[in-house]
Amino acid sequence: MHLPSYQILETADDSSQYKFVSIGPKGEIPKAVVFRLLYPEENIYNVALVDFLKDGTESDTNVSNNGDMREILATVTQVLTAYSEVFPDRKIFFTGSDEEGKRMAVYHRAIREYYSVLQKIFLIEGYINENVKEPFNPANNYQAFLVKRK
Amino acid sequence: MKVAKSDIEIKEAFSKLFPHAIINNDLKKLQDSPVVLKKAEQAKKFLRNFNYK
Repeated sequence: MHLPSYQILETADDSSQYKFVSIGPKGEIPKAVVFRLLYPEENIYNVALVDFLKDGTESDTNVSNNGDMREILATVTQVLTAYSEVFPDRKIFFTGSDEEGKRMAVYHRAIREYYSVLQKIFLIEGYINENVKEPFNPANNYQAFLVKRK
Repeated sequence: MKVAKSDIEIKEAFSKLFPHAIINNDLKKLQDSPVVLKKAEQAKKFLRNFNYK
């Protein structure tokens, strides 16, 4: 994929945090992609997209409306691709942060749109619910995803 | 595909992947920030029936 994305400006030496800045009508909004280990034996990591708010706190539910969703998703995909290249055995879990499921709908739409490219890089599984998962099927809806480098 | 095995190899790999990124170890605090811990707990709650270890 050759989509416009933001440059990663900062990382930490444990390779688990990646900071960039969203730029749009609402100004500059620093964000970070953060990986955290969930299950050591399964090598499953959670990934979160975090906004740095002006009050000094962080949020994963902030709706910035900065008009750059595609660039942000492309940046997160770039990080996932790089991270999984260095750590090909790690499985990465992610889901949306809002109860309404709007973010999952965005993630699902993006994966479906670029599935032909993504499936060459990742094994993608979708969680239909808290009991059932399956290989990603563009026709189905999911509550969460697990990706691993092929 | 390169499989990194040592800390040095990992750092070298990331420096090639993100050549403009500076190292800021203050970002490590995010690992234990309330929002990241909450996300991890939500994930574990969602995945509890899969009995991952």
